[in-house]
Amino acid sequence: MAVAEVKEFHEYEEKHEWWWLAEKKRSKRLDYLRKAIWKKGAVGGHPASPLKYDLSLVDKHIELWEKHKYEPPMLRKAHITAGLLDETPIFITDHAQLVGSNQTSPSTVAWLGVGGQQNKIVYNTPNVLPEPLEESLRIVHEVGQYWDKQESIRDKLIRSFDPEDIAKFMSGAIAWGFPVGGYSGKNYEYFMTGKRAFEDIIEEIDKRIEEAEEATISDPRPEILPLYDRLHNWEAMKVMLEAGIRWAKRYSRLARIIAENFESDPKRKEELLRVAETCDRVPARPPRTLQESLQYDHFIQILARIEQYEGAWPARPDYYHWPCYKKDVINEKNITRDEAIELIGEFMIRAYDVGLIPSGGWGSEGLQGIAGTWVWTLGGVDQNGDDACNDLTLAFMQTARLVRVSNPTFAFRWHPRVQDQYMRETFECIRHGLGYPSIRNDPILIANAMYWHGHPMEEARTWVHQACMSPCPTTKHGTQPMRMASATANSAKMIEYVFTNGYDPVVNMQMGPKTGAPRKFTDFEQVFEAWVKQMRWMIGLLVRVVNVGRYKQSEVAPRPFLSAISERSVESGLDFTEPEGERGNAWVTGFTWVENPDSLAAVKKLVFDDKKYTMDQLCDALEANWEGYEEMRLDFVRNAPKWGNDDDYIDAIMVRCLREIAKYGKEIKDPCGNNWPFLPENVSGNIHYANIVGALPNGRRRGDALYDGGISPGPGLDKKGPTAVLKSCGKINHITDGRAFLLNQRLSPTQLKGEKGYQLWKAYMRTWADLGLDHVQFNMVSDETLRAAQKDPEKFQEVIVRVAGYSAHFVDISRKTQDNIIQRTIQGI
Amino acid sequence: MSRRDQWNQVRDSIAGVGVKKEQTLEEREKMPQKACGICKNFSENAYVHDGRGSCSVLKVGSNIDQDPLVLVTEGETGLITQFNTDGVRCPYFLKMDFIDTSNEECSDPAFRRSHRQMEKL
Repeated sequence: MAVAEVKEFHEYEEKHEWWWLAEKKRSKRLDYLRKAIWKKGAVGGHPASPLKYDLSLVDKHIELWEKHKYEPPMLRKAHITAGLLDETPIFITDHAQLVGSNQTSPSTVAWLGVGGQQNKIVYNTPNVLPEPLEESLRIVHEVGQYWDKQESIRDKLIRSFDPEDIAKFMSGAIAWGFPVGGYSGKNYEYFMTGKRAFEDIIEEIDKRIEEAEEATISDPRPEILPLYDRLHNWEAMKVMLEAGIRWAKRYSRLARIIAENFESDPKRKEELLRVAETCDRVPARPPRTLQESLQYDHFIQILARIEQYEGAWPARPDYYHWPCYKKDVINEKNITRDEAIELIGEFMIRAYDVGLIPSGGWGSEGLQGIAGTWVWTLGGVDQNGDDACNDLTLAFMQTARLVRVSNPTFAFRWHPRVQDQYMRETFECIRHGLGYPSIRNDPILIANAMYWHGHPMEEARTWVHQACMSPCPTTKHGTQPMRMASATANSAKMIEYVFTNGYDPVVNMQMGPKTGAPRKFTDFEQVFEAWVKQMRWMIGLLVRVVNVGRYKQSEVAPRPFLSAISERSVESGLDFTEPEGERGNAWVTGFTWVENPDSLAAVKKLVFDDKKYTMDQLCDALEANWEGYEEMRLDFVRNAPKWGNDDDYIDAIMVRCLREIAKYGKEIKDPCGNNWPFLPENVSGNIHYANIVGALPNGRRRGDALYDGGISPGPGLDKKGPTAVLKSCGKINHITDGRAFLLNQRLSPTQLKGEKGYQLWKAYMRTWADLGLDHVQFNMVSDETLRAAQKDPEKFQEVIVRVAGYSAHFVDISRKTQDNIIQRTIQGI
Repeated sequence: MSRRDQWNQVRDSIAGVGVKKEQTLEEREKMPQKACGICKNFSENAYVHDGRGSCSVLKVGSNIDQDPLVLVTEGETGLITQFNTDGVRCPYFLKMDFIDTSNEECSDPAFRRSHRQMEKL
């Protein structure tokens, strides 16, 4: 490296301008590919302009629907998806070595056309339809009219729930997400171990079909009755696998056409022919090289997303791609490590490029800046409990610092035998301001999976992030296809309803039970008892709704492709979304959680212990949204105990609340008969719910951003330093008190410079591990940089922040979310 | 009326089930000067991001489209209406104050999603 270059790099490091450093250090290919991406995530809650919705497939979708209208749901779905795959335009980005997209072009997101609510959303959203606008509006309108005459998922499903439950769920006050869809769990142990690929699975399916066909024309008996439907399902799975192979071969042909007719650079020609060979091989047959392995994985992810929206991206790339990496880079030296990093970088960029039509305001506002919470899991242990970290773990982290995508992000499974080099790489990513990896405590979470869901240890050890936080095995009976996090609670409403006797003044509905006029409460236990009732009601309702959604999913939105890559579906002929054969891995996500213990502590201290205020006075203030009560409000903010300060007063209340929920989590069951533990975390739900949650006793006004989630202290309210935060969190039992607990921390980039900074951070992490916490994630970016980015966003396009369970480019989130992140306490360690 | 029947009504209005689905392009494009979407009493809902919201004054059973008006102000559930429902005859219409700001802000108090048709106001 030239001296001038070293000096330049050093200057960027001094100024924490990691994005310029990345641009200089990454290869020309990665630089091009990274810059060729059109943003797909919602920017500040709105689709990123100038991204457009492509309407070219709406007629084809209708044509296929009409053709296959009377087939059983799974088979119809397969034929329609296969028909679209056969005709959807494909493209290969210049300089790409990996291919496959769910879009028809780099700057559009395909809309297949629906009626109902999503039709209105597409119709009403500004700046998303292609010109000429009048023509696009006419198409959307006519397509909507057609689909409104067909039976929609909503129409089919809406009457399945208890009407009161679903009305309250859809009020927008207490829930997040839909009770169907969002499935993304993958049975990696079935299709990613190198033992089989699509042709092998087709062979297995053919055997099942042959056996079932023989049975269905044999002597009549009850046992053969289910086989009639399952034959259709197997056929559907086979249709999808064959369609996937054909689709990949289209890319192979395209690469060959470009190479032979349009490419004059011999090196690029060779690359394109290699792309062609790769796509001829995978996904039909198991991968043999790193390029084939990554391409195989990517094809599967895209096929799954073309089939249906997937809200997350569970993956363990350093574990499942390690055999091919080891062979290509270490053993046979077929490619250099730098060439491998180019492939890995492109693999991440391809994922970042995946776009979708937002499902609704809750999605685009709760997930600002991204298209889904894609958390890839690195490190950890293998099924035998041995360290699974390897050179590919390092390569992924090094590559992340070069490509600087905000999605996917990583989570690193730490365990006591992790070697120092992996911690260093993890720290470097954080220091470079990526906001990831988050760090997970592997022994704690394996024990947690065994405790709550009864996963055997070997299966628990295979775990990946189901979405942002919750571990899920990747095994035949352990994989849960669905996030089940649409049992997502706007938890702050639990305490709000204590003070409104269950009435919601924002959505104007009697939501929760009438737990008594709060003005008449004479002691704290009455308040707490009312809180428990509101909590049990809310969680019970959400779980009932999601359970019904899961129960009905295969009827209303079947998944033939996801089933085709899942062992228990290939074996049984059932849709993968059917609960039969699954052990269960559900959890209730608790957004806006810490407001509960903070508010309860404030009431206990200032009303009942110190008797400084009466319940009447507090209720008056809350009803007025604290207007005219500013001095009182500040008392509740500053002088009531707050979580995160190692204060037993409030910490005991936090633990008590969590244990009440944990108790209930064992009483309620998912469709597999398994438990529903609680998992406090957030995405940008704290902003999305800001004007939905009313005034609270922690001093919050309606409209103020809620806390940033999980068990993170309120921004600026943790005043005793980082160890105090950890000690508070350590009073929770991270195995038995819930599923997992998100902790955001913000660190100083200046304090944590150099080797000294790393040692400080390592010491912090030792305390974290000793206290038995399961999760922590970091922002390491200064207020100066963030304020400068607010002022001149064009100059700071590449600054990334950890929002909550995901990262986003700072300029892509709303001002309110930006301010909320800036408010978070910078911990000096 | 049984509990289920009562809540069937509410569910249908929130989810748009049974609501007249066939609208003309012109009906979809309209943006009345006194639309519910710009009334202070209109609360939005990210679950019905298509433009529905609830009224904090009128309750389920009200109808501000028909003549004579049906105004129900007692009950436990707010009336579900659309952002571009014409509130010209509604006695409770209270126009919100507009702030000229970028439509990329979200979830501030009294935030209104900027539906495309609102550009006509």
